[in-house]
Amino acid sequence: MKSITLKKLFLLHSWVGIITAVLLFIVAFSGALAVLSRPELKIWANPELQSSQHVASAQINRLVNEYHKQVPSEFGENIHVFLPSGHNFHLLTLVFESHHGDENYDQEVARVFQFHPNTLALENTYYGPSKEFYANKKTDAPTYIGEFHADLHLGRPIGLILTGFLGLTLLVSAVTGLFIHRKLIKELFTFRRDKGLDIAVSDAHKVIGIWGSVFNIVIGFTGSFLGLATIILLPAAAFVSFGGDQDKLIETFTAIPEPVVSHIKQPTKIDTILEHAHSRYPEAIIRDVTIMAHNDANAQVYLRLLGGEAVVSQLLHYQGNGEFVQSMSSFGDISGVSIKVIELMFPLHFGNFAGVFVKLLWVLLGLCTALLPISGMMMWLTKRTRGSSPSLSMQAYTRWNRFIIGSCGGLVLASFVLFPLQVVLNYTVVGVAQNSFFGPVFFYTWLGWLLLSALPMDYKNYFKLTLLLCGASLAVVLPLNIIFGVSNVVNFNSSLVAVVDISFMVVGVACLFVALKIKNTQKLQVEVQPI
Amino acid sequence: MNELLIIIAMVSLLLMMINIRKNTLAIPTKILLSAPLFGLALICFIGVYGILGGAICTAVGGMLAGLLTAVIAGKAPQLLE
Repeated sequence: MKSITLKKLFLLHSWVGIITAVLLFIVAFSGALAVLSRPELKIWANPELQSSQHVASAQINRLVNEYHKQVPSEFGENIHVFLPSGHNFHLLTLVFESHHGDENYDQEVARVFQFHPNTLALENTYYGPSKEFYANKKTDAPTYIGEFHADLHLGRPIGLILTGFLGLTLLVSAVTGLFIHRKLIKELFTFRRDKGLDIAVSDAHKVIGIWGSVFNIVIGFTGSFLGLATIILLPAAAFVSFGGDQDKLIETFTAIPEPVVSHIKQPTKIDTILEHAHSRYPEAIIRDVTIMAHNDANAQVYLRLLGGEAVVSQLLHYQGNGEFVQSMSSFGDISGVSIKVIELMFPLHFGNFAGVFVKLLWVLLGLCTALLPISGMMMWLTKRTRGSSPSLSMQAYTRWNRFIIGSCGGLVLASFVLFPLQVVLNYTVVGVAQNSFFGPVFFYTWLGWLLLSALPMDYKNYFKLTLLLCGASLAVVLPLNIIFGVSNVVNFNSSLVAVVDISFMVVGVACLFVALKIKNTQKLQVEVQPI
Repeated sequence: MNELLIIIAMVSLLLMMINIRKNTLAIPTKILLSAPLFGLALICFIGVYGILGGAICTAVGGMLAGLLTAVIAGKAPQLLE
């Protein structure tokens, strides 16, 4: 490639990286945590889910029939059963929906019953617009971080556009980075730890960039698609193929059509259907069940499955009498390569197509992706402080470093603080009331830590303090859970909780260990003076 | 059984990376040693996650193995020299 083109690509790589570095770190780091948010960390965060994530098929059938009798007939058109798998609600949830409203509401309205997954005791009821129910459902620390990754809590569409745009910048940075790195094969394993921080950071940036390039390109592409699909791509596709009619486009791609109600009574065999799905796909998790025209001869049942041998999520279609119809993707039974590619985007982005091992691969590579913009920015800043006429003074360099630690380290701290908060909230605050705590604690911690960067302190001390607090936040989870938690490492009620608590302790102690290894600058100066 | 297959696959990938990193070996020797290790990892992952899932896992596991080799082993004698 011509050197002038390489120069332009280098400039593009540098400026895209510098402008979006902090935001890219925020999205990548929260994304790495979000990989484990459902179901692992969600189960950890909810004592109800810790007790049981499985409800017997016969019990689900009984509950649907029992509560269907208690709601007006129009609410039987569409019944959703959200199983307590750690992907949706923290309770077994039955949603009876009327799409055309009722005597009190002109919009889609729902009657909801929520049960404890273990005891099946009725815990919550709701009657009102469907949208409000889904918008105000109980959240928890991992879900809050997951949602922050999706739209940065800026709301939709702004948040989605921003994260989609950041996916594009990651894609551009990864591709341009591969082109401008001329010793790609030669420096495949070059990582010089002993040659000083600057060289180690530069080598780390290159090594992570090369080895993680395919992952970064995939994550960037799928991330930009997921962010921009509903905002830009959907209207564009509707404009091209459906004369601008978005509803018609959605209708075409909706896998669950409205059934024709025959008004002939016939029991819907939910338990038989669930048992059949379990035996057909024993490794997969049934996330939710949709029953159309319950107890009608034309009843249709759809099961949403995740995992098992299928990489993409599946939708199983059954007749009400238990007869299996077909297995299809969430977009319906649509053929074509493009739909297969679109289907693959979700598992490739979330890393949720197999077990915990695959998720851990996604977490580790995601954390590496988060390190790329930071190491790139450090290289950019260091380069500008060198030479006979540096364009950046040492004071400005220090300020920039403090800003990076305040914004990026602040985000890490704010995320980690949510975990001990979750343990305390589970003990002190019941249900949906917990929702109001996560936002203020997260954003005020982050803002507070960022404001601290304005103080004229040494950035190494600031980094050490950040690491100490991050480590302390994680390390305190295990003892807090022993004191307040229903499940913990002592009673071992839930092995998942024990493993998560121990993992938090290990990461926390590692952070503390690294922090204590960093020497205080003042001490360093004192040591240096006599020489 | 699945856990064992995953461990075998990851160890194979790590060995493959160490083999690629070694500059005392000629390129044909590296290919000869790396191909069976890669194949073994692929077969193990396919055994656990199916064909598509196994292929994706091998690629991603390979990336992580390469990264770990570079970071843990430290400075390598430069390849292709």
